[in-house]
Amino acid sequence: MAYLTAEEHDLNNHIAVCSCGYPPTDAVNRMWTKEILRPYVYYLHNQQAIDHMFGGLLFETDMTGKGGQLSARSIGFGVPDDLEDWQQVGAHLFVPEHNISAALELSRDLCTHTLDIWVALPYPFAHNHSSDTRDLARDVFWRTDRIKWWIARFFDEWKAACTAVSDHRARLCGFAWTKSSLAPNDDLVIRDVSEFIHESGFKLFWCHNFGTTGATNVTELGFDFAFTRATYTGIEPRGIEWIRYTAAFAAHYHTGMTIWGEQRFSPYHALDFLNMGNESFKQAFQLYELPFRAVYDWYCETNPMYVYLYAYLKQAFTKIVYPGCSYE
Amino acid sequence: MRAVHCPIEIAGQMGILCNGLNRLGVTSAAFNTFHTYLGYRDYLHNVDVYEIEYLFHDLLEHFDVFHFHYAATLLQGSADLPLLERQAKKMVMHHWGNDVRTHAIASISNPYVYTGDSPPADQIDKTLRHLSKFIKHAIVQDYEVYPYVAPYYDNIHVLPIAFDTDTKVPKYPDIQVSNPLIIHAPTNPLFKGTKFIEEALEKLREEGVSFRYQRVEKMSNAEAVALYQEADIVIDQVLCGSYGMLAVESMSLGKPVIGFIRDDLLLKFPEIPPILSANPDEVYDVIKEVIQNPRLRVEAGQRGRAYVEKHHSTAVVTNQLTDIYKQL
Repeated sequence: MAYLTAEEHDLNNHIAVCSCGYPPTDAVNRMWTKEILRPYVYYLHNQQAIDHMFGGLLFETDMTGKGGQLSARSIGFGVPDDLEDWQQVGAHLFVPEHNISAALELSRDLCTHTLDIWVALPYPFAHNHSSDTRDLARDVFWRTDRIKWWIARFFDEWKAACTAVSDHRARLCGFAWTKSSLAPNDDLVIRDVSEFIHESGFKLFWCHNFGTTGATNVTELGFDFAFTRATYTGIEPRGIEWIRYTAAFAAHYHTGMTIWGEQRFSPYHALDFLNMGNESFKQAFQLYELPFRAVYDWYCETNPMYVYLYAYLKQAFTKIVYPGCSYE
Repeated sequence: MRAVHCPIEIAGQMGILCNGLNRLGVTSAAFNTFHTYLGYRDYLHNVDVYEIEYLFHDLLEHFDVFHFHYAATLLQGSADLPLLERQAKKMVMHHWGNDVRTHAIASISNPYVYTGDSPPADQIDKTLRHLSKFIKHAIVQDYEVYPYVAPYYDNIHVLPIAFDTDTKVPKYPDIQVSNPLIIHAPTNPLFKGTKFIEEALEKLREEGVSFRYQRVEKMSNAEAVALYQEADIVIDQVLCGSYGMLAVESMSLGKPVIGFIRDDLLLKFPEIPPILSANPDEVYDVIKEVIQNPRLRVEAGQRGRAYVEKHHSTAVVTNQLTDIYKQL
């Protein structure tokens, strides 16, 4: 087997995750404007678009203003979600001139390319604070129904946004399931939801961690493909080798790779992934999880990471050794 | 104050404590990475170790109090502790017994004890040395566990097992029943002394003593509790010398409980527990007496219910826990 590639699914490689809404640890509502997204979609030099950059954007809402938990990343940091939270996700993604609407507008200038749009499904938490959920079959039905309802609403909002920006060059490709570990009966929810998504002609992928149970059964679960994330912390036993092990897993099980840039571990965290990617998985289908607007900030600050990233996306990267780099 | 409980759920305690803390206004969340057929789901988030690694910095930023369980922390090898210490986070380790019980110490006061579930003594020592270098406060459920950790931590707090007594309506044994239903639920038969219990029951059966017996195994806690409700007598364990969650659950349901309580521990509980004490040498006689004395069953059931309301109810225990948090 070999790494999953974007080409085999007729998709653009290099998807940047655009986390929006409220993060787990802050009270700032993250919104993606055209200005912030521009250096993600285009490689900029002196404000001029020289080339295209990421091939796709994945929008994911973590939490609502009242703390409703919606994403895998928000687990335990807020309050149980309700219908209003789910309604707000859709509205938030399509705020005029922001988020998906901004991406649609930005895509207008992509002459020969298209921009792939992906959306993370809100995670249907089992509301275990009610004794009703002892009945797992009912729980599965409820959770599946909630996602399908949300997707149907999303399609309506997508169509309306596309009508408003009729000359956009973006294409909606599908959805992401971003909860790595699977709770009891998540597999049943996923199978049903994936059928629903496939009937509409879209795809569903899974973002999982290396080591997660079930990660070897991606397509059996109903996903089209998956990205594997190395939970590289820089601390043994999750040192640099962990990325190499993850890459070996991805090559064997035919998944893509996630480039994870968690600057709170190290300012070189993302660079470590690029270095390892250059060593093995640079041609794989890749997903980039970087801090909110990090690429915009790198561009504005003329941080070399912006150039490194561009070089990596274009297969022109060479390994960068930095002070204190612990690996050859 | 925001408290996070992780990473190993024992007897539903993380969820119960978090629910109680939230009711008291202490924002709390529980993350469990230890998944068993017991299927604890209430008030906790079932994740895996890799998700904890992924969420690590968000957890670090969001929470003030890190309440660890079962000698484990956030990262592998407790590599997180230096980082938590550096950020002056409050930490407490909750030990539950098998994580720290060494045969050398346990057998001093208890010739019957089984410690085959515990790690080797040198490993326990190494773990406790590492943990206590960074964590200065430990919690244990009673004075049976206390001596195993006493040489290591600066402060040790005794916090009884918590149980939502409000959610359980007692169903006292029917005094008219002539063939009482005896339930024994060994999560680990060697630890609980199931062999001695079942030998005693077999002997009683051969003698023509009338009773029914059900061994409860390999089912979720919710299903098991439903069965306990129908019991006339519950047998907890006859080796350990103290009592655990099964005894608390059963007393809450108004059931007479047989279990071995060491004589030297009796006065160390806030009051003498109304458990019908029986070690392997006594279990035959005690079971026989309880079977043949329905009035004793009812009285023990009533005293058990009063005892858990007074000492194990979630409100009582979490009030004590918040006092501990203030000392960290």
